[in-house]
Amino acid sequence: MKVIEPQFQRDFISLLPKELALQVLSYLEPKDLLRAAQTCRSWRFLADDNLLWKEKCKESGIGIEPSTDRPKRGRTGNMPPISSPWKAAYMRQHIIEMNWRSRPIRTAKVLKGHDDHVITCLQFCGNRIVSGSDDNTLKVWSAITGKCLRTLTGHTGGVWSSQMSGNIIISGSTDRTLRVWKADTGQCMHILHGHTSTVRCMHLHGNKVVSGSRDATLRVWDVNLGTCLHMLVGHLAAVRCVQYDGKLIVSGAYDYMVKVWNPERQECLHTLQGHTNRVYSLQFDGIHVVSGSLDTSIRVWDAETGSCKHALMGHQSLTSGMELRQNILVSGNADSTVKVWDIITGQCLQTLSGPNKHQSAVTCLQFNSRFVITSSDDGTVKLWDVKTGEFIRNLVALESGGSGGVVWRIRANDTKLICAVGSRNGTEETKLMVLDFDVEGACLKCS
Amino acid sequence: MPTIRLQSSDGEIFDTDVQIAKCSGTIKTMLEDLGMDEGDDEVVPLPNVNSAILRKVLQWATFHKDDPIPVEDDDSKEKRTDDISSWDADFLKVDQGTLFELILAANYLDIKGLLDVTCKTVANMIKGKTPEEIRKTFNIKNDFTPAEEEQVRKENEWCEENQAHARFYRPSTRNAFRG
Repeated sequence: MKVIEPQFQRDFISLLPKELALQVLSYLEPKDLLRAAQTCRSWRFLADDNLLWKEKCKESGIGIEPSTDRPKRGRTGNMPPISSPWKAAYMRQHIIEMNWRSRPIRTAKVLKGHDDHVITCLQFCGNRIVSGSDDNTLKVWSAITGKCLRTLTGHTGGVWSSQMSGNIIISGSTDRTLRVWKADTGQCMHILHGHTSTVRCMHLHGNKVVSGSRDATLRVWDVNLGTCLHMLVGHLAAVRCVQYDGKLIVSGAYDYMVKVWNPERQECLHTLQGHTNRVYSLQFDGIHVVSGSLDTSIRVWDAETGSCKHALMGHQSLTSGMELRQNILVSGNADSTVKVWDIITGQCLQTLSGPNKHQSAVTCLQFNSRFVITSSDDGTVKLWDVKTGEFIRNLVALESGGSGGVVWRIRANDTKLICAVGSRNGTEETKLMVLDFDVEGACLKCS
Repeated sequence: MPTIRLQSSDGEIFDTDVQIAKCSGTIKTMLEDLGMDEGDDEVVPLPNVNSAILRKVLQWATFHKDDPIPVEDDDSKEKRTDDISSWDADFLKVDQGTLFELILAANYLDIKGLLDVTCKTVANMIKGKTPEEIRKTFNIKNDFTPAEEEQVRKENEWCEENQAHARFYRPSTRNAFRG
């Protein structure tokens, strides 16, 4: 470094008026702010400024929970510890991101249950996990302790669909009924009779749940009263997927059709025709309907007019799972790839493949503003960068992968990943795995 | 071309094109509030800016007189520092004392473009440096006690992407010490 004569040097941050010093610091990235804070006392004071870090959080889409405790750090001498809640939130989020991305993965909690049966559906909310199985039961688990809290018994056929909201769990079964359960007590509140075949899919909104059945109909139920409010008839084959936003219902079926319904009037508003094979997956954001089919295409429709906006081509097989967030669609396909699309332009932004791609059908996926998490019949759960499409790493790799071990379902929140794994040939015991990516030592009561 | 007369703190008079002078929100307001008209021989005193700095400021304003009016802080815009034009970069190749005075003058005269680019320049002098390098750059005295220094180091530890890998894959050195 060029030696500068001290008389020509200025300690800008200490000598400028505070708002100007903060403007200079506002141009620094978090990493540089942390270094700046280590220079001297006055720099530390300004580099820890709460509004400065609020901006950094905003740029990275980090929110703050109102309950966030101020960090308690060891005090040395008369220097107060960091007091910026926004800085603490930023640091925490950064560590969590690194925990997902690159730091050693902590040993997963293993939650064994459902014997050698298949886990068909998985719900995860707060600290509660609910697994549904073709062993006719559902199990309620604690994500913290890993203990099975309740086993919900009563269905006389396999459970193939479920929903959870608050303390309410709803399940659909091959026994043609839906059941409404209380999560905390395990009590069955209602048995909803009406469908004449397997209840294959459902979507809960508020106190109403819409169920789709192999009997080709949909039914709308009041989950508090346990009554059937509406019945939607029009599909010619099994209803495989359903979405409900409180106003409109969208259904996809084995008759290759997607239908948009007004539930109150029990009226089909649009029949969306274009797929040339069974429809397996749907997303609906109130404006766009996105349907995934065995015909390898994904179609984007306008819910209002019923017109087809785009046919997204590129996958080689069945699109079994999709997620739509702010016009970005991620689709998982039996061709073992995952694609990221812009549904407004119809453009494929990324294909999650390459040397580390899944070796078998993609079974489930979830994404947020940073990552895509995907699971597969190959027994792995993979983490990808949603922006670049780059493979980051395997979060789970079953030893039995390739010889029968599969990951059926995954659910994740910011800090936890729940995987339902097992096999059909006995190589891998049926179980849930809970992986924790939270800051180490995060207190249990606030998680 | 209409001009006005600006007076620096040390008494020097700068006959300045009005359009250029109005880059400064402060001067613009003064002219409007005081009802000073073009062609008036009145002098606008700028008691917070010396002649050397005012000369620099006017040089900057002359070059940028046709710039679009800067929008008020757009929060959604990412804070970049790699967008300094080469003319500005050359213009700001000055000693730290001058840069310091320019920031104060840009703030006092309310010239957003100049304030932004000078603050960015200082930010660029901080970026990528270790705490010790920052101290050397700005002649800062480390006033932490060793214990405090350890505390701030811990508080500000940045978890690196490849740090974990390094720890994970670091080859054992134990063999090297085996007899």
